[in-house]
Amino acid sequence: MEAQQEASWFRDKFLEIKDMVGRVIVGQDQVVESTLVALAANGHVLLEGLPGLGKTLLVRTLSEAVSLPFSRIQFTPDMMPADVTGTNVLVQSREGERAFEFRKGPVFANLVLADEINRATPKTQSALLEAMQEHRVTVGGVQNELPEPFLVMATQNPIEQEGTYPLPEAQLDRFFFKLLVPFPDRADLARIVQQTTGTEEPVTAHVATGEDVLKMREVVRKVVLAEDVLARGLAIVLGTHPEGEGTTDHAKKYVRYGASPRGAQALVTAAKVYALLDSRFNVSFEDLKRAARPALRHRIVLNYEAEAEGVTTDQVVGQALASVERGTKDPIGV
Amino acid sequence: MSEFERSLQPFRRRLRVVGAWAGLAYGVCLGALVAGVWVALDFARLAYADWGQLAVAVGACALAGSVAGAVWRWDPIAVARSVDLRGQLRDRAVSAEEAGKDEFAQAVRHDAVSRVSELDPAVLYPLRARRTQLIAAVSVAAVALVFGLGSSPLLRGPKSAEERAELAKAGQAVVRVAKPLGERPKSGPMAAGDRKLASDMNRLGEDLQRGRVNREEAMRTANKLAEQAERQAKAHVEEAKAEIAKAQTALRQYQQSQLSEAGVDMEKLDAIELSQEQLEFIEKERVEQGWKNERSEGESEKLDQLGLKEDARALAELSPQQRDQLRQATNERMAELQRQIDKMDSLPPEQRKAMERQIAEARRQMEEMRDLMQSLEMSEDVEKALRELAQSPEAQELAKKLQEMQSMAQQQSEGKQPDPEQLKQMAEQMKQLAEKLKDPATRAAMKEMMKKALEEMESGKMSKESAQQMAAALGMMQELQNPGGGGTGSQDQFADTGKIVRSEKEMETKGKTTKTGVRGEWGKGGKEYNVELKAPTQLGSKSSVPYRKILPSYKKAAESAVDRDLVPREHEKRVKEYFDSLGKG
Repeated sequence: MEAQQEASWFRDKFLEIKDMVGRVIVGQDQVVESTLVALAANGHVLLEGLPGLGKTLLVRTLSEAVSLPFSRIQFTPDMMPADVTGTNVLVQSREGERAFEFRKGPVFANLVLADEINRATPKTQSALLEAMQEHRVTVGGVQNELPEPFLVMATQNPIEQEGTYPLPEAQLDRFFFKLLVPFPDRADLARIVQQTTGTEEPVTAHVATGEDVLKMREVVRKVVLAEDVLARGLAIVLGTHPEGEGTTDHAKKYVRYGASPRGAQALVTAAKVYALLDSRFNVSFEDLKRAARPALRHRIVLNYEAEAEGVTTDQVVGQALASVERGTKDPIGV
Repeated sequence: MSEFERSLQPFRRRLRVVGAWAGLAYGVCLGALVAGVWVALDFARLAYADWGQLAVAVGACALAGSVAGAVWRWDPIAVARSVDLRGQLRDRAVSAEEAGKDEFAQAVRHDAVSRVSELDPAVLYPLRARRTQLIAAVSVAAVALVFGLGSSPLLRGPKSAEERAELAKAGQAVVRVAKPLGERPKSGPMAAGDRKLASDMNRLGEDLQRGRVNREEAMRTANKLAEQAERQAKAHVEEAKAEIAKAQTALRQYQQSQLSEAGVDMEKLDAIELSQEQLEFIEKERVEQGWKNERSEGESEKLDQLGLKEDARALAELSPQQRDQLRQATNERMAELQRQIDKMDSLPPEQRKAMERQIAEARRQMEEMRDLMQSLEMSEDVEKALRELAQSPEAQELAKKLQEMQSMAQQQSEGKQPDPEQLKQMAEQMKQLAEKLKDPATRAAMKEMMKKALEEMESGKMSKESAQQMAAALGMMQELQNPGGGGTGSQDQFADTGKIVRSEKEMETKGKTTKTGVRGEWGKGGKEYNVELKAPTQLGSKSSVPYRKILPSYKKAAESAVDRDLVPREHEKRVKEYFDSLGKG
């Protein structure tokens, strides 16, 4: 059956890429998998973690694994939007004719690492908005299409708040996933040290192509989503809202704005990827659960009370999940 | 049916079994609720229940619940979702149920079928005692416990249990008595009253059997019921009297019509008026001639029933020979008067004139009587009709039955129980007699009336059964007040109510009751014989005040009343004897 072959190919390819990246990125399996999920779901990733946890290495390794060009933008406060998107420059031909020519910026790559994005000014940050959402850049009134597949992986440091510009909600909402990069445990740290201080460096092979990635995205969209499962997914999203149907006590108390419709889209799309990874052709509630936190945590705006009490968006999402799970009862209670 | 739907069929079948099991539990819960309400109403004495009725209520609800659970149609999505949850299929079944027709949808269904086929319906839907079943069992047990303890003598002392047994026995008697009363015809003027009485009696009987009332309360209720029964009985008697009057009228009309057919002018008979002198003349002749009543008893009776006035009766009772003799005596008297007139020539004119007026008046009366006798001259046909009427066995029987019914109505009014079988037979016989007395032309109206009266009597309006039931209702009083038997006869049932049972004659009593006849005065209208029954308390040894303790004070009060001339002199001796006899007892 073709569907089974497609699903099987997807899973195999995904695991192949994951395995390849995992050879280099030690102790961050969850982050690697989630990044690949975003790649397969046609989404961008916001990585939040301390410096030196391998974020840049992750992007570079991924680009090698999927055989796609990679660019890295180190955001600084003095960076201008043109430094991201590119700009028109005056060029003179051999005949002496002068004309403006568009010089593509670093965003013109399949995989873009926006390192420490919160250090750039909002003006520069917003330069990424169109690129992330529309997959194109407009400079001087001319639209320039970005290459496909296109994936932005932005990083931000959670502790260095001095001289940073927190990402506006509109830009945060454009990230498919927000991944928290944890500090590796002792065993993983030992492996990292040994692997990076020895003579042998892990070699990354090309296990996929850009076409494979695009095909993976097509397969993902075919996964069946039942009405009943969708209803539960929407209940999770609505459970993060402080008002309305299905709200939770946590949301009422600590949330200013709940997850956006893009959050619901991200939730379902990510769940479809997880379903394929679980050798299924349909989305289940378990898939939604796996996707809920990375897909929704950056789309929820907490209030001051939450900040004062140290409540996180993950807790709010957890409450919404628990609420939906409690409401999921056997309709035949005999 | 798709492959996926076929794969869910075993689960649907299993759901019928499990649904029946769950429905059974819900039904039992509902039944327990119903039974609980019933028991509460039973304790509140608003409705009555027994173990069988409660079991039927619970069983019926359980059965209904079980059937409803078995036939319940589950939503396919609900079934798929349930199988998903129980079989941990990660929403495969519900996705397959909702999936479209593309390749992935088919893959989902194929995947779901393979997963569902690995599941055992009996494992997913086991028959086990869950919370509902537990609640059902506890509910039934609780209701049974409450009802059982409430009706059980276990928590009672020996004395209380004995009293309860006595009351229960009385209660059974009350219910037994009330049963036929409740089965009376549902229509008729007395039906509503009879039904209410039967209902009240049933309620009292149930209360007694369940020990919901104590002896004192039962006595009060019984007294009220007795009063109610008495009113009903009196009403039935009045109704019976009215019906008898109808029957009498019908009989008279029948006889009159038969005589009219034979040529007797009943209007002329009614118009006969004789003066005192004429009547005295007839009586004088009767004495002098030594006339005996040559009419047979039946003929005289018929003449009575014809309703003739005394004047017509004096002439009509005479036989043809006697009438001839009277006519002859009349002629002789007239001749004698004529002779007296002839001899009056020697008298002074005033006296002669007065005598002439007297003699003329006497002569006019004699002539008038002779004319009347001529007009009353009955033809052979009339005489024959009268004889036939008198000798007709059907008419005789009819009259006899009527008399018996009157007698029974009288007995009813005196509180005696008529024999129901006898009444029934009598009604049947009267009906047959009415059929025999056929004369379509002239007696149709009479027969119709008679039949109607008989039918009404048969349908119960005429109190033959009413009297029986009322008397039976009164009879239960005896049972209630003295369950051990003995006591007074059935006619003494109101002794405990403080009422005085009046009768034309002394009543015979049975058992331990002593009676004292007292001739008293009732109002200003002369004397009336009455009997006042003064029996020992019906509660006997269970009286709240010992008999010996209260007697001296009552005796002293009676003696004081005698000393103060409050008691008629002729009764003083009887009062003393009465209290002396109590002291000896």
